[in-house]
Amino acid sequence: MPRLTYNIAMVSDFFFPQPGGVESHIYQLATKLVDRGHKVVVITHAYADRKGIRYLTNGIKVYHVPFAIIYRSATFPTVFSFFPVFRNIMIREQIDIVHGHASLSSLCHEALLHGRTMGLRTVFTDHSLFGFADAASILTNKLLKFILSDVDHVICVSHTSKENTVLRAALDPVMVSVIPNAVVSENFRPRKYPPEPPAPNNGFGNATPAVHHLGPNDPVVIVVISRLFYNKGTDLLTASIPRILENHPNTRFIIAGSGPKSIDLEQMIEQNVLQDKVEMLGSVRHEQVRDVMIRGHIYLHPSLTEAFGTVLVEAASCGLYVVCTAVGGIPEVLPGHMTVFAKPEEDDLVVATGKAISALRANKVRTEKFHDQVKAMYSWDNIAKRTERVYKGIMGDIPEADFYGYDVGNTAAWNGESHSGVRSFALIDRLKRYYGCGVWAGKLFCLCAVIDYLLFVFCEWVFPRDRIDIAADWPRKVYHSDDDD
Amino acid sequence: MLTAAPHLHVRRPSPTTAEFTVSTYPRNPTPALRLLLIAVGVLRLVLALGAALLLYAEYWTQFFTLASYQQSNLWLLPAAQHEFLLYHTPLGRLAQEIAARTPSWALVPLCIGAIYVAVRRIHVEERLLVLRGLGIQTRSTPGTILLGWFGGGAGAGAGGGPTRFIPTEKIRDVLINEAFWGFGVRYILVVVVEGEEGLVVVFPKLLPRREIVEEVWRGVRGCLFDEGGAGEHHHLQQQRPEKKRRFKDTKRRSGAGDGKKSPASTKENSGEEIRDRS
Amino acid sequence: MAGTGIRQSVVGPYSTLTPATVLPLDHLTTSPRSSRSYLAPEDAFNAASPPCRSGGFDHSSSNNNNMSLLRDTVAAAGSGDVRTSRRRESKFGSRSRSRRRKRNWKKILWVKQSYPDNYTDQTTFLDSLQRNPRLQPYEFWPLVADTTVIVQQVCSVTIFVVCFVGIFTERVSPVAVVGWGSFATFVGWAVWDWWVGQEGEDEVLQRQNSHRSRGAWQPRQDGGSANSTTAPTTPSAASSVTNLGSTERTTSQGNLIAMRSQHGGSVTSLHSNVSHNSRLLDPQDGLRHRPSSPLRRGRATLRLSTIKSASLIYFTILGLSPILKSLTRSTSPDSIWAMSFLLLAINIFFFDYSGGVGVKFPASLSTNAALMASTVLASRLPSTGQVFSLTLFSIEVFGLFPVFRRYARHRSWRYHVTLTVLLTVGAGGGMGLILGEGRDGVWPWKSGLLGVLVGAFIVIVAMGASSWWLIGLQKYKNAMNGPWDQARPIIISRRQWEYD
Repeated sequence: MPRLTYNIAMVSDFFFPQPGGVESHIYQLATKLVDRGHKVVVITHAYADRKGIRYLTNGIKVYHVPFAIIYRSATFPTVFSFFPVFRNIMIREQIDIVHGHASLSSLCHEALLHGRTMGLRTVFTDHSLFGFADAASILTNKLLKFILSDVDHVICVSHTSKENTVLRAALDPVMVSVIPNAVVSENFRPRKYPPEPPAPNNGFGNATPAVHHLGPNDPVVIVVISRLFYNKGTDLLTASIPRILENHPNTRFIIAGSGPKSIDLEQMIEQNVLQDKVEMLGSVRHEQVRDVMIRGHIYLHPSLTEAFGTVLVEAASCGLYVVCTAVGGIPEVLPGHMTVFAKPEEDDLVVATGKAISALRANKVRTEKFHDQVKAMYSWDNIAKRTERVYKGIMGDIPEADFYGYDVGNTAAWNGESHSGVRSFALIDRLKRYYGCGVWAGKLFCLCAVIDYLLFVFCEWVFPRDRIDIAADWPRKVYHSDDDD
Repeated sequence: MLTAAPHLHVRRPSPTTAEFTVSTYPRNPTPALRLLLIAVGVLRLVLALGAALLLYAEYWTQFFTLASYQQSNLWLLPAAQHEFLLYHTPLGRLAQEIAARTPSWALVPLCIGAIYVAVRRIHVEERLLVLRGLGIQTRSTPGTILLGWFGGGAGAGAGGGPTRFIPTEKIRDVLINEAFWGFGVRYILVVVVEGEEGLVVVFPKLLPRREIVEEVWRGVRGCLFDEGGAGEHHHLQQQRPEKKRRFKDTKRRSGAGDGKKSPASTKENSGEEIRDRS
Repeated sequence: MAGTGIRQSVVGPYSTLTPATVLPLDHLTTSPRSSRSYLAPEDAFNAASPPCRSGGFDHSSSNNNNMSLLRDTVAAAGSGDVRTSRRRESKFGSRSRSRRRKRNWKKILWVKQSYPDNYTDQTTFLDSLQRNPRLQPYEFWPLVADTTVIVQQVCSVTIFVVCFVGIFTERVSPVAVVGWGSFATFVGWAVWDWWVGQEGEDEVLQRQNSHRSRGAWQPRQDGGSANSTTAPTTPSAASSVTNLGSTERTTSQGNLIAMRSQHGGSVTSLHSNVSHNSRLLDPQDGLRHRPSSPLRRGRATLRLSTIKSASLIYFTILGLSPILKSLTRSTSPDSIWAMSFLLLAINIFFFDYSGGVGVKFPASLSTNAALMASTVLASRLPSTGQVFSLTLFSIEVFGLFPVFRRYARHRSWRYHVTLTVLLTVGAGGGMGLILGEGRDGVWPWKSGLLGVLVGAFIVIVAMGASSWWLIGLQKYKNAMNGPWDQARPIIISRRQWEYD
């Protein structure tokens, strides 16, 4: 039986050449999905030197749509002006699934709306946490509710993020899957790790790297890699560093990253004359992160909010003992023997770091094993497999009862109605869903959906489907041995 | 109805020459269609003449004063013919009446529009002539009949005209590209010319569909570079990285015909693409 | 693997992120399912229970209220179909129980669990959600009490407008307005000065032994509001303060201690007049004769400089008045009225109602708008004397009076209420007077009285209605907090390296 493969369009405002977490997530996921035999197209807006259509490794096609940037300043025209181009791409690439990323990307939201109008299955991945209090959050949440009230499935990167998204967009929790981020563990090897993975016939026990004990006089190096913003907890860091250094004199800090709070840090260093103990590297590229990390023993992450915290996994993969604040989704990410959790308080952070330092000094922590453990925990292959299951579920290739966890016996009582999982494409059903979004917002959303639909009909008339060339496929990979789950 | 979808006609007068013509002229017009085309042509002629007459009458009504009547240098026609045209033919009188009644701000643009419609070409035809060892020449019909006359009269080789010749030594590559064009994405055949900022788009007006573009591309490669001669191809590949930097706005898509080409060429093309990734 | 780690990671961090008072007590004691304030998955769809919104916002019922509210909102928003809600509920119950359950589901990501990715664990899902954690339910009377600040500002603006109209229609002599205004200002300044003096000594005392004056006026509220209906206190207070002012004027700067004792005398007279207010003045008894000369010398120079700047302002306005008089001669009166209305509205809306006593001129936009309004209005007046008096009066009303009011409120709730009543009476009466048909020579006490009554009625109704409305709006409050919120870092030692 041939494997079911899909044509997937990943849509987000955030993609290379811009650096960032969402960007690399999309790229890694797309690469692994291509490896599994799917066809993946990435749609993003044009950057200064990236316009038009490009291919990345593995045959991932990237559309840098120039429209979005033309109308960037004005949001309203963008809502619909993107549609003709989007429709053209969807048709010529024969897309089955639109997968949007990041809740702050307007391109993603538009694509999900248009995708539903065109009768495509849609998935949304939320990468961030939002509160409910401030004005910006309220606006974003309203928009998210609008888009997600008609999306087929939502993927969140952590359980906390799932709770947040379910609340923000008023979703049925079974529609939301939790699929974490991952790391390319080959890129985050510890310092003394064997460069080549050991051959399989070596036997598993021989593969463990040499135990590296910390000498009594070796300084403990604490690495901090984060953008220096308020929400990354730089204030906590600034307040804690002098106290940590006071308690543990034989300690060094390496701080990489830049941001508005770096001035505070520098001031602190000068005030306390810590120039020889605290090294500030400025911003580092993502490729250099590993080189910075392996210089240290402890990774300190004082962030105030974090949906997943990929950098923690990267640090653990590099064999660093992790000290982090227990906020957001962070407590779900790493097991307790790799981390010391702290409250987002200065005192607690100092205490936790002290605990970590003394644990390392006592050589209680087997940091040399971290890499292999993390490798087993987080891999993009696994992520792609789980994402594929979501795709199968929404395409109806997995039985609904199986996918959504309902009792099959109950389906008889449903009168053939579609439940929340498989969402009907009929305009009237979509309008019903949008109408429930709010007193005024519901009507506005309905209006938007109707206009979108009219635009779709107009496009079908002006640019008929048979006039659109079908793009040539990159030769697909054949993926074997999937059914091990 | 009068035009057809762009279709390709290939002519190979000699093994080293090939001409690719993409045209919207119906491929095998039926007699009825021929008649219709002739009728449309006649209609356009009448339209143009009528508009011209109206314009002339308007000009006359605007500038008619007793004083200016004396100065015959204001007249475009000799006085006798003028008299005859406007006063002794029913058509002239009708035109004069219309010109007198219609305000000139409406009449003049309408007439000019009518003339434009009359002289506009119905069918578009674009050619690509490939001469091995010499180069390629692109040529497309201009938008109007008049420009065709003038352009043709001035000589096609004058440079500013609708033809363009690119000598072989200037051609870096001929390839198929995907580009955003209007509200969609099109396959376009482009020529990379040495020393030029942009790409030369072949068939820029018609933008034929993918099958035609692929066929032309294969034909051009075969005729120009004698595809299969590995040396020349290799030579082209070596120059590529330099080329890439200059044409950042669009990404080459030389592997467009992967599905139909041999596995070997597919592999070769994908190899190029991967190397081109920045 | 790492069972302790899991426990630590899942449970530990959140229980301490928020103050303990946040969590309702019944949640901790009773069974988690029945009365917990968390949102369970089925709550999102269980719209069957009728919302009980009618209840008040006392602490005991607020939990249930909020819960049903949230349930409503989520259900209403959740794709709008209530049809499927029951079904889904039953499905939830049965299916998730019957699922193969070898190990318990855990809220962690690093282990591949035998549950699908979209599995929602009923017991832990949204466990750490808190709704309206920092909700302080408003109560009616404190809210009404707080509106008095706004009433005061509105009334003083009204009084200013009344004075302007009086001057403009030449019913009131400008000299009288500015004379009485300046007199009241001087009295107010004197009282304020005395209060500040006391406060300073209090602080000295406080620094020595205990905290006394910080929350002192807080319990005094009850007593003040309880017997605020007693005697008309202000005339006597004013007279005693006049006494104080005269003594101050006559005494030279040298014998401060003597003056201080005079102060004491005036205070006692005030004390005797304002019957039951002994608690307020108790602390002063002990320190009345305490010599603290450096503080007093500083305050003496402060007074001198105040008088200097006051006279400077006085003469500046006097000099500027002729210019102001012709400032807007070329502008039509309509635009002047509209503009001044707008500016006064700005003054009312942007006034700093919450300001503490420390700030001198807090809301600069508000004050500037008011002064500009007065300038513009003054330029309508025909004579230099009128312009001068109106401008000076406006500075007194908009610049200095708020400072005094703020201090009076800080000082004693009773003063505050008295001031509010006085202002209301003044504003209402003034409005009545200028709106009533004033015949020359006859004191239109009827319209004045009517104005007072109407004004008092409007003020009382507005205070009550707005408070009631605000309390009514509280039920729409639905703040959701949880681990996704940005944590508030608690930083202690920052001051150390910043300021040493």
